[in-house]
Amino acid sequence: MLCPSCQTRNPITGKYCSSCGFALFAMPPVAVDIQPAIAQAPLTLTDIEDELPSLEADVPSFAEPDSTVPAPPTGAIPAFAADAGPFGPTGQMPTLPDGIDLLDEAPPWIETGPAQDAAVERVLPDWLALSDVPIFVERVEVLSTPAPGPLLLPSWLNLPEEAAADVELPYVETVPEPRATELPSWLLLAEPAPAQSETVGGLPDWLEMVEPPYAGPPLDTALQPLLPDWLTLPEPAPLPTPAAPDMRKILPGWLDLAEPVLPDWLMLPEPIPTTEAPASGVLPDWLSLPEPEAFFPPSAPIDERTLPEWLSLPEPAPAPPAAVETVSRVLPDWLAAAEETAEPAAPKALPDWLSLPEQSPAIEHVIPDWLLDEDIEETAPPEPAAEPVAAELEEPVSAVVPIAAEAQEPASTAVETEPVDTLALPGIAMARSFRAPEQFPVRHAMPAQTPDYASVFTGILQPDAEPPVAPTPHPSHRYTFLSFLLIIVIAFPLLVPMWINFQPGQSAAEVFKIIQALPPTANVLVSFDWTAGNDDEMAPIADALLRHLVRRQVKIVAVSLVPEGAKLAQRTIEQSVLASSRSYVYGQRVVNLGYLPGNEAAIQAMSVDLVRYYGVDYRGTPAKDLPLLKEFKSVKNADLVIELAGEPEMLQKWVTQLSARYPGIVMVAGISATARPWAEPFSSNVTGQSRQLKGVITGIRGAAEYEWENNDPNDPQPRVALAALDAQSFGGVFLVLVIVFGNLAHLLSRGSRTKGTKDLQRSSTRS
Amino acid sequence: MVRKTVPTAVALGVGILVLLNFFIEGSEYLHNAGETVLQWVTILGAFALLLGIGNILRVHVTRVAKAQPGWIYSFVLVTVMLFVIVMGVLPGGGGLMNPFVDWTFNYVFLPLNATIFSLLAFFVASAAFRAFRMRSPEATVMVLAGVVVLAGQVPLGRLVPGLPETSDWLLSVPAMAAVRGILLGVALGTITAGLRVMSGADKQYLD
Repeated sequence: MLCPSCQTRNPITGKYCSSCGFALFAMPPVAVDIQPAIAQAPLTLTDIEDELPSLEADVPSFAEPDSTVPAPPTGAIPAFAADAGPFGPTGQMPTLPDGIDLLDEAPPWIETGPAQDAAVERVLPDWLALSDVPIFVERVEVLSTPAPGPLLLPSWLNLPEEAAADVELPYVETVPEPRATELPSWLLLAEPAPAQSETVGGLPDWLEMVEPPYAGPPLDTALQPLLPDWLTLPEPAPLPTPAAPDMRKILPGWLDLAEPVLPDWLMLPEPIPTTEAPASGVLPDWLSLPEPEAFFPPSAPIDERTLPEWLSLPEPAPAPPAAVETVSRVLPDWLAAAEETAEPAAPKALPDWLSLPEQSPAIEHVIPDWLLDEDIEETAPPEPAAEPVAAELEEPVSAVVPIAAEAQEPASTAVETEPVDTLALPGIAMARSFRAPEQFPVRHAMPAQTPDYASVFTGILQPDAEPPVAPTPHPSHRYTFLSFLLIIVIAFPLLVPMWINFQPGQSAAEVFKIIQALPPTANVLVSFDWTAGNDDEMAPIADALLRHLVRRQVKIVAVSLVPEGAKLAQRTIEQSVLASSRSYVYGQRVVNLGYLPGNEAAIQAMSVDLVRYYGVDYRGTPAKDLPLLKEFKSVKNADLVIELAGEPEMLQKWVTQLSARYPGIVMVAGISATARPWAEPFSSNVTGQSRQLKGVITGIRGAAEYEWENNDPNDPQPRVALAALDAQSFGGVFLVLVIVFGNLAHLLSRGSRTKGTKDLQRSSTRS
Repeated sequence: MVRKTVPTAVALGVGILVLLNFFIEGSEYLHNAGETVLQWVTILGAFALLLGIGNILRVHVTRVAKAQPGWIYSFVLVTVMLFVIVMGVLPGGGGLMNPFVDWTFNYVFLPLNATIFSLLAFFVASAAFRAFRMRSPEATVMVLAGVVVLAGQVPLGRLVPGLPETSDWLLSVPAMAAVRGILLGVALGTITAGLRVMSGADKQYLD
């Protein structure tokens, strides 16, 4: 026995604590006539003793016994128990009456009344203490008065007045008062002596020894009107068998309640008849599931072994009694009670939110993707006829439901054994799974110019298609600034000539020497092979050369391999020859034969017979009527051939077709600056080279050099090339500066270059 | 057979005739035959020019008839082209010496072409700033060579000591070597193409 004061364990027979002298008494067992299930609880007195210290730990002080408290009925205490010792003054165990066994742990409260009362008060926990009124006294009054006052109970234990008026007070005089009050209600459920459970009053033998069996109404019945519903003990239900199942012993007593004791929120609804399917309107559409037979043949077995436990259905109960027992092992009574009323049908075991309606539109709409199995797709049975058409579905859903194609498959294609989806619910999610089309996010990491390139490429592949739309040029203030700056840089030297550092080159001097060496009877063939686009660059060259030829009084025959060349030749002849020298008469010293198509073939034709192949000159005069052509019949009669080419291809034609066949014909060229690299192989003066071109005049600079060489003080014509040379110098330096600043900006911004810029560079390089 | 053999035989015979006329001198018959073929070539070239004129008329007249985007420019092109042709071929009009044709060429055609060509200066300036960057070792070499040649070709750049010589060397040695290689390749390709045509292996002209 544990001392409530000093927590010292003392023998069960001790009256006072061996350590602090505290009066000890054993907690009396409650002699309530509760249901037999409680009486069978294997609690012993020792267990109760262990629980008491924790319950009375919050008790601040020991309450002195009140003298007004009535002592226990002495009449109920046998004489041998009224002695000081447990076995009387003699220390010998008295002789018990026949049929009565005295327990080894006799409750000491039967010895003295006041000490016992005080101890009982200490045992009560705080939550059972009623305000400041001595508990014991008031509790006794409650039990002894006909009408129990509601003040005796806390507010949460008070009953309505109507219910209190109907309370029939029990007979309490013969009932040991401490038993009714010293223990809380939850302790009343504990029965220490299972072996004595069969007694009528529920009292153990050691109580039957000291008092007669309680003959009044059960105590719990008397207290039931005073207690709330959840504390009210129901009527003892008879056990189905004398030997109660052991599984009930593991259930706490507060769970071993009958159905009416359960609160409303724990009350199960009325059992749903198994023959009635739940209404489909209860569930939202997305939870509505069709009947499993709508998707699978009825003969298709369901392998529950593949299902997880939480999805598995309970075993079908073979018989109601066995089912009750089986359920009681795994379910608490409050669920077992409801289970007894329901038939153990498999669909009924599902909660409402998993119930299957009779007809659901389509399970494909409900099943999430993670429930779909790809492996079942090939062997899944065909869709039922009730499948909705694809047009009724939304696009994302219809994309994963191949309805139309497979719904028409014959039923014979269905396999006998239906594959089981490991994630499928039996009868619910055993629907066929579908493979959703793989959709990969499109990532466009192409440079900005790629669409333009693609449009150009498409135009090449599809020439009949509409021309690609030209990309909208982005407004660039930089381009505008550069344009205006270039205009200023070029216009300034044109308006204010400066003659910066002009040094005549060697190539122009060589050409000048060749022409200067021509006798006045020499025949010179000049081919005007440039277009209008190169006219500003080629015209000064042609003008400088023709003026020099005029000075040398040589015969000039003009031809052309491009259509525009004839007109350009005519303009140059009129301006540089006919207008500068009166000695030159058209047809006698100068002739313009114009354009001859055929390129290489035309050159070959010129080398054969000019009159024959031309027929007429530029003016329409028959070639045979021109006096100059009577002695200048072909290119072979020319002392000098001057090729004025705006493009390198024309120069190559003349070189390959004329110089190779007639090596004795001297040929010089006046070309644009862009054609100079292509003229270098034919004009190089390196020893050992063939040098088809004896001299080359390149661009404006070459024209200016030739003007410088052909310095005639008597020639009033302006020197166009020399005047443009300053503008060209300024323009060239400006471009060099632009390149330098552009690269400086590029180097400074290299660190902050993004990845997209690198991709653009790579794509531009590949293009 | 007729569609392939006869054209191939004609091509082979004409090719051989022109080659013989080029390499053999002194044969009057061969010379006359060769000159006749050259005359055919010039006539075919003139017809090719007429064919090009007809193709331009077809494309732009169709665009005008269908009122496609930009049809107004096609209308101007067709109108001016037909007007110039008519003025040039009119009997007694003077041909190329017709004053209207001469005025149109000198004061419309040439200025327009010169304007388009002059725009290259601005394009070059913008491209030099944007694209002429030293992004790689190869690009760096190209940029440096371009700057040296560009600066060495203008009188102002020739004031820099050594720059004119460097510019001329770049043009005379590395650039000429590359161009010469290209010209040799083109010449070999031309010979190969001629042999394929004469042997009948290449019949693209039949398409």
